[in-house]
Amino acid sequence: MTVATRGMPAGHARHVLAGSLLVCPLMLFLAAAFYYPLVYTVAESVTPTAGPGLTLAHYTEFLGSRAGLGVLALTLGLSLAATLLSVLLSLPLALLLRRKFLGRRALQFLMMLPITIPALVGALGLLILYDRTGWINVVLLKWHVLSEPLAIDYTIPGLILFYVWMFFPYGGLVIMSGLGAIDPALEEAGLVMGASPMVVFRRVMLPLLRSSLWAGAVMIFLQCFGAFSVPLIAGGNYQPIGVKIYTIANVFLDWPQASAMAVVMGIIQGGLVFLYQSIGQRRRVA
Amino acid sequence: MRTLPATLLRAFLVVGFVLFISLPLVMILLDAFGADWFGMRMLPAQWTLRWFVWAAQTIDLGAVALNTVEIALMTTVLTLAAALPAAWAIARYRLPFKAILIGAILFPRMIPEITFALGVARIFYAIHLTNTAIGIALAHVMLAAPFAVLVLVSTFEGLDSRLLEAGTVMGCSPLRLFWRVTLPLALPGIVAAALFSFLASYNDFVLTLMVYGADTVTLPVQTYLSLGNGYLSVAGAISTILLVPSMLFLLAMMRMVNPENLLGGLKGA
Repeated sequence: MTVATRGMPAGHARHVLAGSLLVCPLMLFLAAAFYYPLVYTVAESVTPTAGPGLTLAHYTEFLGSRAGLGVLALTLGLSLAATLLSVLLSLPLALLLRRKFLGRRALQFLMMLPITIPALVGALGLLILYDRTGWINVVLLKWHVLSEPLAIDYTIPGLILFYVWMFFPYGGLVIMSGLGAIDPALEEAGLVMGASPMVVFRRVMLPLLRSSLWAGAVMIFLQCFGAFSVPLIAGGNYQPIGVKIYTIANVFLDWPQASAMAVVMGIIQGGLVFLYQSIGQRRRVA
Repeated sequence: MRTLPATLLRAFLVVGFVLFISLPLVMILLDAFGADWFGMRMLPAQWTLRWFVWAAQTIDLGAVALNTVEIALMTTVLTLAAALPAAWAIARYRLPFKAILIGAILFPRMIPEITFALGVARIFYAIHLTNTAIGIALAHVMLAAPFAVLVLVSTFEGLDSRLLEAGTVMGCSPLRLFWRVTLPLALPGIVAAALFSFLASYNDFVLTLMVYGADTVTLPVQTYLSLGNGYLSVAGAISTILLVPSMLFLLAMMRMVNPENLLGGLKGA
């Protein structure tokens, strides 16, 4: 705070003005390409298909129909299953990556890859790998684990698996940082006192990790809920909310209906972000 | 005290993880550089560059790649032009409603892209910004700016005020102070913000899909189009090109910052 501390009233006003001017270009961009479109989407969602006035029909059509609720159930179910599996995968991995060993950085690099590369590319690779003639099926057939190829692509379990691949790093990173914050002396104390590593993990580490685990889980859920590229090309007949919105807007050209669904999606996601941040605040306080 | 089963379990975990993560990307490479790869074959029957040649000839891959880079560079310039002064003001000025201001800047990262992409598509169509490079870049700024501001604010807050004051006391003009002291000190943060902005635009699919046109096809959109047309190997070839900047970015970032700090910026869709 170099400039801010010289506080005369006139200087202060000039100071605020200068600061506000510096923020202006960014706010103009945001207003033009984010806030205005957002308001436009909300306005469109309450526009009747024909005639003037306002209507909530597009919301009731989405939230009050079997098809609409089916979309929500599919999206939430996929996200929940993928989140659970991702946490189960992240936890041992985070524990493993805690120690320094040869190739640790390479593993960290690998762990970051799925969220750095374009989601579309990851989805394409997954589709090829788990295809009926892909490596997984070929190897399992050659080893006689299977007698005929397993359908993984375009199935619900397959989609969950793809979500895990794509989104688990978010949780892994949060859990890793939580682990890093735990004093190693606590773990050692437990081991010295004669507790088995399993008991130390359950009675010492897990309680300390709880808020990190929750934060990681919410983060993964958030990503799964907002997924677009993966279900778009790898979902087959299963269309979670993001893909459904795109289809309704671009194929059926029913923009008001798509907008209403987009607003519902935005509100749910906003709520999840809020949840994540309140967990984060508790983590910092603790 | 390390037992054999524990070591074996650990090795199993590492190998399983490495395969789980890397095999899909190995598939992309096999798909892009292989031909006659079907049935129960593990590897393609022959190695070839024909899909790249195909892509170059039939879909004008050069123009598509050029579009992508051009839009990404525009996004980077626009993002830095807007985010640098804003971050400077947030970090070093006393602003009213600062918390609300920061919230408003980060908000685009908190809601799904598709939610505002619908509005962007409608508005840009109405004012003829769809199918223009500048229009797509402007939309991409919304993806890049929140993270760029975060990185830059923490960079500027970390600048040692005593160094800047020493410069002023020694008679340095404000402009000279900026070039000789502030900029070199803040350069790593600025580079990180620029690289991130470039990558956010280069990799974006959702927003681009809503505003692209025949003249502004980008690499991710072309991957999707090629898949839709059934050219799996062409999609693989384009994906290979798409992968390169992400890999370089990740390598560079892992040198510069703790991976965990990237969380706010990276967002799959």
